[in-house]
Amino acid sequence: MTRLPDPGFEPRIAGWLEADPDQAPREVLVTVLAAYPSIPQRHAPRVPWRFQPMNRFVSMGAAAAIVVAVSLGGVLLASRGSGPGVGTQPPTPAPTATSAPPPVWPLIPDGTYLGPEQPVADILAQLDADLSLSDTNRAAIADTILGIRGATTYQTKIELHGSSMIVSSGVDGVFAPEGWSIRSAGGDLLVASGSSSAIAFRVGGCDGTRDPCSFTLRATEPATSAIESFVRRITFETGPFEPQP
Amino acid sequence: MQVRLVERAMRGDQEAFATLAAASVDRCYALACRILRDPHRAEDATQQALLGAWRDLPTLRDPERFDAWLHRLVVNACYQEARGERRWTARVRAITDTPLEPDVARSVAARDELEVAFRRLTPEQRAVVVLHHHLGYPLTEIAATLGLPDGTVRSRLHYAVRQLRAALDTSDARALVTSEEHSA
Repeated sequence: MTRLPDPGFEPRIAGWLEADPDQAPREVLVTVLAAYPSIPQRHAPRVPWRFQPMNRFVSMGAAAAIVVAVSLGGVLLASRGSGPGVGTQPPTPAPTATSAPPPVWPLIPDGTYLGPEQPVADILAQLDADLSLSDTNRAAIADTILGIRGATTYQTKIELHGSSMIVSSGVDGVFAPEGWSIRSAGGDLLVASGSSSAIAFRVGGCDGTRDPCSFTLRATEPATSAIESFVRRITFETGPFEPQP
Repeated sequence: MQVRLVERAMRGDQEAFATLAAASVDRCYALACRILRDPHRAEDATQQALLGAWRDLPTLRDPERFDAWLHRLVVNACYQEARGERRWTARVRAITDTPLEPDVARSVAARDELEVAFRRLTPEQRAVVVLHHHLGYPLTEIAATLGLPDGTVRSRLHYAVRQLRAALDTSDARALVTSEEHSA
């Protein structure tokens, strides 16, 4: 016996599928926008795939930096979301129910923020003490990734302009002309909220805190390698980023 | 407009790609979510597809086919995600104090049956169902998008629909029995 087609079947399937979410969480786009500039496109024919052999450690370092910049950048950009007066609640779910809405902090203003100036001798001492690193990794971090061998100080600079964030590192006060650029998803960033004296926000697996003028960053997701763990600690997690005049 | 953006992105224009990605991310996520039935995996698949799109854009032959090409990347990313390590997922539904109206109860039961049946489908079958019943692609378009013979697509859809229909029939039968018991 041939079964008669059920005229209601297709609408029911379509209706059931329609009920699923249509909007991607904001961090999906933030992650993509942060990561794709570091990914080489497949080249057209007759163009050499790579003009110079890339030092293995340079690529490792770049990868580590990108991972850090992506995750921490998500935190920072999230805190630069809609300003006061917008009246929206944080889209991230609150961990506990509260009777009053959390305070909404103003945007982190555009400008240049500097992390603490770290003596290179201290960094090298930490490098030697880190047993998770091999001698080869230590040399790569000091000579290539951070490039601090023979220098005196190391510092991280974060520049915020609109919805973009550029991270660069400085050795002896000289900052590399090229940094890692992070772009936000647009004007609909998260509203950061928190307690009275410090703000807490969590995006992309990282935690950040800020007071009205400065901010600190701390990744909460495990690093994918010992090199990445060390580099992100030195570059991002050593202290507050203070605004510069 | 989009074709120009695609052409610029194919030449390495990062701004153009950023615009394309922002315009496409929801669509990619919606597709991945429906195929994978897991929002976290859908996020991963969406990111994977968009980053793959940037990498492979110069190999795209026809910029006007960007959307279909991107859908193919999403579907392939979903296959990879689905074959990865299974992660525990929970589906939680609030239980109401008051009994549900028969129609509502029937609808909820049908959705549950569909969910279970859909999860039993292979990722390949799910993709065809979603492309056809959600995005409204004709079978020939699905075949072109996924790079499959028409017959393969037809076969996948046939078996998938048969299982989903059986799930709905079961649900309907249960609802009928419940309704009769309630009337008695």
